Amino acid sequence: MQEALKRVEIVLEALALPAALEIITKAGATGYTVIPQAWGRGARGERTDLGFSEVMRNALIIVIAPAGVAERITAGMSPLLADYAGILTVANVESCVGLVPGDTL
Amino acid sequence: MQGLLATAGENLVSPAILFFALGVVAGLVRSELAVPKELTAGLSLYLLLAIGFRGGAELAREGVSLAFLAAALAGLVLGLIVLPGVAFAALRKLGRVDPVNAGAIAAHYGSISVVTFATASTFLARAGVPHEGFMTAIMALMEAPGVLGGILLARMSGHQKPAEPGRIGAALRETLLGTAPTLLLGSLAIGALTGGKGMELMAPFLVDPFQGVLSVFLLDMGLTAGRRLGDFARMGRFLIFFGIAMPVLAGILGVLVARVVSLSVGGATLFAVLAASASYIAAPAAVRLALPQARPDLAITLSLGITFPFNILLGIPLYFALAHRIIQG
Repeated sequence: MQEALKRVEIVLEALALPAALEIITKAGATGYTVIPQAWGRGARGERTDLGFSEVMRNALIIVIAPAGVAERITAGMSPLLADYAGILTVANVESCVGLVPGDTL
Repeated sequence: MQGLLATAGENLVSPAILFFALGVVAGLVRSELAVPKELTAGLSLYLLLAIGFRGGAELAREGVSLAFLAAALAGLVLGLIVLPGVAFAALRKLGRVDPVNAGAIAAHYGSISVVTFATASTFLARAGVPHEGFMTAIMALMEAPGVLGGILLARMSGHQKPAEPGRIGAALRETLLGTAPTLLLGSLAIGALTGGKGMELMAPFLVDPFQGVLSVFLLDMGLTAGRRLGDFARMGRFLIFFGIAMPVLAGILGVLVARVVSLSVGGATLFAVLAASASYIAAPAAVRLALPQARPDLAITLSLGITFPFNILLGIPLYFALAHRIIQG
């Protein structure tokens, strides 16, 4: 049976995006989606795009990956999330239409 | 004193400054007025390109002189050691700020603000006061050292997690190869290479629209500053005091150093503005990478919410008056 799929959602300080994508790729994810401009409020107060600086901007990363990869992403991301604004959640994927992670064209 | 008030008043009625004030007021009263962030990002690219190019062309016209080298050296020492050192000591000793945040804030105050510099140049042009053409090059040189100085002070204070060498490298990369420094230094080089001919070609794009673009950019800066005014309450009285006292002290220091390296009144005013201004584009990103434990909102609210408006509205005429008195008097 195929390994269960997880949806990893990461809200992250835009400045830490390159480091996060490297962690995600190294964890074995075959793809990800980035929404580069996100804003919101959390433990660090309001975080919003200033236009001239990415320091207060957030980004949203979505990864659909097998459970093992999701676990490695979670482990790899925790030091980064200790230093930078953000939150990571993992949810079960009930169904998936389109190319499933691991598929190749 | 009366002369100072008159110059300050004149500064306040220039369109760019009034648009800044409009932004602050609109931000304070929570108006719906908003400038699209993509536009602000684009305008900041235009400003960096225009300022860099014009500075390069002026440098080409004047050539590299001994006066330029002396001012450059003074700017480097001031930016790398003196300004971050004074800011760090004041924050630690007087404000009891923790070393990481003190270093982060010191990095912002050691570096410079390109838009404050541009506003001061406009102020001098309106007053008909000439300045050395190499001042833009000095500004470009002073962007990185201050950031580095502040970061090193935080690291040397020994309250950091075990050294992660990649962090300083990432910060250094950001201060030298980030969007702002790359475009500023690159445009400066292109302006210097193409000289007067290049300036002639680019003037319709770089000179006439400049005030308008600066006005829209300052409108958005005003909005951001105005909306952040509420954050002051959480910063405590000392930091608010620091946000005004530090630029005044640095401005005085700047004029004195300018006198030693024999700058003109206009040049000394710009040099003081460079010393007094705090970065909010280049420094925050680099500091965030090197000192992730520091609170980014603290330094940015200070530099953008207090020091920037202070310099734009009152600081520039004050430094001009000081330069006038100390250099000419």
